[in-house]
Amino acid sequence: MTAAAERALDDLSAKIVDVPLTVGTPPETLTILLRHFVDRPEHPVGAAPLGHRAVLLIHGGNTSSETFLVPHGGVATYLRERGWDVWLVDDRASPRVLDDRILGGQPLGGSVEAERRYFNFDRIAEEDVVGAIAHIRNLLGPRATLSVVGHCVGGATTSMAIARGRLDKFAVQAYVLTTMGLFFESPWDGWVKAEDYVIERVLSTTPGCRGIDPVQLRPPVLEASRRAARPWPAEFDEAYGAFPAAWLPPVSDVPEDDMLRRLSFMFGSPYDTAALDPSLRGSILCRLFGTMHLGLYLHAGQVVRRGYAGRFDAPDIIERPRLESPPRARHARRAAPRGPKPAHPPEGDLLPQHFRDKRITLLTGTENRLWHRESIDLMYEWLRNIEGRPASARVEKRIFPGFAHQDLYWRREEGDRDVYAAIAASLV
Amino acid sequence: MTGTPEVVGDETHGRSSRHRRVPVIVVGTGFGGAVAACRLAQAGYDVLVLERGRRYERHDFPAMPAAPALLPDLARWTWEPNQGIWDILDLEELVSVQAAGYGGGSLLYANVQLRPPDEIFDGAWPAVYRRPEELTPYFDLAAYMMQAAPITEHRHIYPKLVKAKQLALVMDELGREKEFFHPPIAVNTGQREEPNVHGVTQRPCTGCGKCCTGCPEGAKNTLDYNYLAIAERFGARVRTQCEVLDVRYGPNGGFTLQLADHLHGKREELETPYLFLCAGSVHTTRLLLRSESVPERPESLVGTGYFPGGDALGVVYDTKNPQYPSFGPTITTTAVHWRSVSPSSFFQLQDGGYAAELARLIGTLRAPLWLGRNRLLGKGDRPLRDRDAIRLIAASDVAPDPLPTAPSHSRLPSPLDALIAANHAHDFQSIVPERLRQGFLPFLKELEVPLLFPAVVGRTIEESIESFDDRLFRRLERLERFRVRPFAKDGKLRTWLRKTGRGFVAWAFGKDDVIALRSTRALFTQGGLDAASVARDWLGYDDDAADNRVMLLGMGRDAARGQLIYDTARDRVVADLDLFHLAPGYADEELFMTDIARALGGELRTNPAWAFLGKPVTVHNQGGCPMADSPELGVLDPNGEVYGKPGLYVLDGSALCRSVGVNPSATILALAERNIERFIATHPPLEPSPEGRAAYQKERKKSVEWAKRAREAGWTRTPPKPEDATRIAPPFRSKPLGLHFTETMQGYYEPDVPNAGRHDAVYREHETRGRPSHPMRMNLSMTVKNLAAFYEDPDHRMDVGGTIALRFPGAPAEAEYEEHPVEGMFELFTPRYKPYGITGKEPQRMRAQRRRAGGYGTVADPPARERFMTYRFALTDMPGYYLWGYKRVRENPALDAWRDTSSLFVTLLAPPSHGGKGLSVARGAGVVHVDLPGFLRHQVPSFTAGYAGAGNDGEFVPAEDDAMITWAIAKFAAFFFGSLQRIYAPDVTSLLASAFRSHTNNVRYEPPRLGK
Repeated sequence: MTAAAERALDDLSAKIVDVPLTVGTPPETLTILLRHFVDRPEHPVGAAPLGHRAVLLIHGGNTSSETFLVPHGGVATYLRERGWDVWLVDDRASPRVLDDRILGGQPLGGSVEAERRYFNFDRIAEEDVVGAIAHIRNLLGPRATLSVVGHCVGGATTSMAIARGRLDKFAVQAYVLTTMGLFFESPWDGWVKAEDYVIERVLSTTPGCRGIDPVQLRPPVLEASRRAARPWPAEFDEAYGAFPAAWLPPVSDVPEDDMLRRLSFMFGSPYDTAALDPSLRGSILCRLFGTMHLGLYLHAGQVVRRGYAGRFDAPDIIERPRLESPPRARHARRAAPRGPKPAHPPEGDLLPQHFRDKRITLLTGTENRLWHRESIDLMYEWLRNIEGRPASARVEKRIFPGFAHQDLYWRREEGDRDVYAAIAASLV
Repeated sequence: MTGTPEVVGDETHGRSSRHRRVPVIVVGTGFGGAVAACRLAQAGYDVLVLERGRRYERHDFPAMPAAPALLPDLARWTWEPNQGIWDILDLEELVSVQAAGYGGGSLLYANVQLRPPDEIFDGAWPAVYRRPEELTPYFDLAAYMMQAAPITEHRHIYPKLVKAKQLALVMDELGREKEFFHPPIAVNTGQREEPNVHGVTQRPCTGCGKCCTGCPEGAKNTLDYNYLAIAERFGARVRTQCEVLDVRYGPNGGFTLQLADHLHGKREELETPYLFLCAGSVHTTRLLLRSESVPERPESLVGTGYFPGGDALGVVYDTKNPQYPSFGPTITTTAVHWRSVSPSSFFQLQDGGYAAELARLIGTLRAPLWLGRNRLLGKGDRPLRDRDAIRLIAASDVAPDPLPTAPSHSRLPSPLDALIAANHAHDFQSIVPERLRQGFLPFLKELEVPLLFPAVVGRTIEESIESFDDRLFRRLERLERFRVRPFAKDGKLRTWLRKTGRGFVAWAFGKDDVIALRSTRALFTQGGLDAASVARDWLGYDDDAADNRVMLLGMGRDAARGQLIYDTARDRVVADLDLFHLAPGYADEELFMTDIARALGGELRTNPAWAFLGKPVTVHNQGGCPMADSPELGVLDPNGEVYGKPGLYVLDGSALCRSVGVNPSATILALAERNIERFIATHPPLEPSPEGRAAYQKERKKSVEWAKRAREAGWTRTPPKPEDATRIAPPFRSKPLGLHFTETMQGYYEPDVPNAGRHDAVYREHETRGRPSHPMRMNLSMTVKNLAAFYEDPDHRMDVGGTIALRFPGAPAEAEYEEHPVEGMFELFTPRYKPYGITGKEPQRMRAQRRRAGGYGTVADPPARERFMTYRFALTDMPGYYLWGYKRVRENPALDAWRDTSSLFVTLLAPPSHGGKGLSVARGAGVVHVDLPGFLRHQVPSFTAGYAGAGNDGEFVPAEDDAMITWAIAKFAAFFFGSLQRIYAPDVTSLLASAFRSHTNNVRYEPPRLGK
């Protein structure tokens, strides 16, 4: 079954046109992949000509655009069949860009530290997301409709780009942000790890580490690919071993189960295997996840500690915004990674008025153990509280009971529990 | 706006935030605030609505714990740590529960929209409300807006609603069918997803029973589906997660609000000329008290007239037939019990449905932990007499279809569940890094076990003994100024006591290192038990026979005035209540529940918080800022405006002048509708909105049609009054649990003492002078008819029977002693001054007493350290002969509790010597005693609990349930000795209170009011 599913994914991928896109300001540029679903579906249900109703799907951290291509063609095929002109992007967090192209060679910028500057949410938001949307808008011309779907880090970076006013000029008609917006609420176990500064400890003990790959037991299919094996740094491995085993899936020799266990440690459980579509079993799962670049990982730790978006290295040892309690204990201040708190918080450049006239749908599952659904709930409250929203601007929230993080896209259900239908209904 | 989520630091919490001026601000979105927001927006005002909680849509309510998880993911459960939906406040004397969220109490209430009977609008209300027709149009309007209809209109739910049918059968059996009805409930009656009358799409009710934990279908007509949706449609601006912290009055009118924006983590200030405070009874009162706690208004009435309602909860387990408590809306039926019509006093019992996921939690009411103390009825209790018999109710012939359960994958475990799991898997040892552990373990072994822990344990024990010793002898140290030093801290006595205490601990629990080792081992091994079995077997966390249960919710008119007092130190309010006067008494509610339980063949358990901790829980806070016709009598004028603060309005439950008895939501809505209409009529907006006005007129018109429909369909929209004033309510079939014991006393009296009612020193003198000539012997039997009522009664009355043997004054010396039967009353620990025995030479106490009689605001009064046990009985075979007596229990320098409680000073009253008509006069006085051997041999074993007058000859029948008898006697003993301890050693109370912070209802003495 796995082989069949993988073959189907390969076939589908082959039909999608990859457009390399160089983003960033010289000299700090890199090439990401913009992908255009040009293949005519076999059953065009009201399919409109390409370029009419465009939708761009932005994937999450250490996953690729293939998130949207499984199972059975995924949400990309679903939308394509219903007449959307589907675009996908593999940004710098995607294994198709990072593992296959960047980590295989010399560090960008000449050194490991310099490379880390390329990898944070700000660069994804302001270069990859903005670059991809700008490119598509250029191709389509000003009159075509364009929607954006962002999942996980894709949703967070998209909303960061909106909040910084970088998308105002591209006239995106609808945004669908799944699991994350500007608020980063992890369940309690994620919070525990972020407060433990695991990633910062890795940085200090293994300065040469460029990223953490959840795939350690490699299935044959990955052995055959170009992805190199990347063992975990000792500090990280030790933290993994010391983490309460009761909070992780059981230890396993099966590559994909081992990966799930490691992913559960790295971020929080992204899915329950039993809850996925039956075609998503076996080693195909290993292919869908890649390395988490340490720069992105550091930034993720910071936003989890802070609870909401901010520039890389903005202060995160602060009071949580919603709790009025005495200042954090002294030892936490000592553990602050860098320097004193700047006088003007850099996250002040995230402005609510840029959301005022946008049509935004927020979407997550109740059982999300990677980003707590609270992330979406708070984003929704925040958007609803923006003053002076015109009546045309619509903010909606859809919560799917029983769904976790990744299975929002990897499981189909009937009726009002169908995530794909909800996404299609939110697009223009 | 400076930006999105902003850093919270000390600097942003300062006062430097910006000021903004807003035309109208509504604080709160509950039943009052939603009406205000809606009508103001319709009228064309630029209105800003502030809500401290968040928005709750269908799937946003906190999740229930599904098996095998024990506890839910606690996010959004409680207000305090993370802005959750339940705001549970400890008001010291009771626990108050309210909702925090967009829609306020409507998100969690049980949907009932009942209009109170007209009688409750009595003299406590402003004159205009005493006309029954004043509020009628507004009750109709509220009912239309909320689409309130009885459960019989829910055609897809009602035919399968077993719990309602079973209760109807029970009420038939109890002869209460006329007082039983289906109240209107605000739940969508539709059967498919469609827009409601206000144009908001709603889904049909599935009968999942989750009304009180948040409707997951959006079928409940919460305020965000009607009033608030209309308000937003007409341009009201809503800010959620904005909590008002303070209201300040501007020098020239207008108000400044200080608020915490929880979403952005910053403070802000807003100014407004018109402010509508609708934050709920407790919080509105708190905000007003906070801003009024200024020296210039010491006589402020804010906080007076607070009523928690007589909320009670009981669950009947193991009913003979299934009840399916988790199917159907929470409340579908009401049975009203009138205690009196004028003054109106009644209570209601309603069925309580709950989510199926909560079945395990509901099981905890019968946990072994409570030791049967909240059990009021033994299983299979037999009727005592034929006329008390209640027939078992037959099973209903329908059953609801099982609800489809959503498949759940990878449930988010609660932190506590996860911690338990990790502890059980011995994971925490591995958290310590290996390097550290290797180095640390030998060090631990060297140091920790023999030294560190025992040192900690030993130190703890020593400190506890020291502090106990300090507290115990603190008062006695004052004697040092008399050069008496037996109790000096370093004296021999106290040193010896401390050493002995230390020795006792070592003897009882082992030496320090043994205690340390045992406790650490117990902590780390959990005694070999897993959490699930502990929860199930010890805490009763079990859904055994979940279908055969029914929950009963009691609430009623509560006549005891209370007060909310602002605690400046902790910025909160505390309630000062007269718990003993909480009427309608919990005792009656329990009896009614017992009747129902017997008809259903089940076992009744009541809320352990009340039965065990003596702390009632209320979800129906009312009053705090009462309306009145003049500022001397209340806080608000009849239109809801605060006296002396033009522009400040209060439209929520705190404006109620009395507890309304029924579920208060409809009354709050109607009052708010009336008063906001008055406001708009007198303050026309600058730019009136014609569309809004048309919409309002249309709603008024529709409401008339709705009321007509209700009349024609015969809906019961207000609890029916008794048809016959002589037959207020059917008597309870169950007998209340009572107590019985005997007491023997003997002594002497001196005939023809001229001035009976002298100070007891005189009697003592008689006693010590030698034996007076007239011995006297009493064999008394004491009966408490209803123990629950006994504790609630401030005088703690019980019935006295038995015999007394004496020789009357004037009888010849050789005359025989005659035994005379007596009948009368005994009052235990009454604080009142009696007309006898006390001279009026204690002006300070008299003043204190008068102050107490005046009402409330006397919390600073120390509890009186003197109590009386008074006996009053008549000799039934000798008309005109009475015996009065009292025992005086007071704090004396020495511990003389035995002498005080065993000495009864008696006065014998006889008819006037000329034999004519007239009042009996004192003909002798003396003293009788309980002797210690008699007390131990006869009185102590005579205690038993059971049913007074239940035997065929009206005798006392002991209960069958040993646990009940044990608890009844134990509770009485706790009451008796606890009261003694309060008088003789009050310091122990503060010591215990500081150790356990426990609250017990039965041994506390708040000064009760006189002349009620």
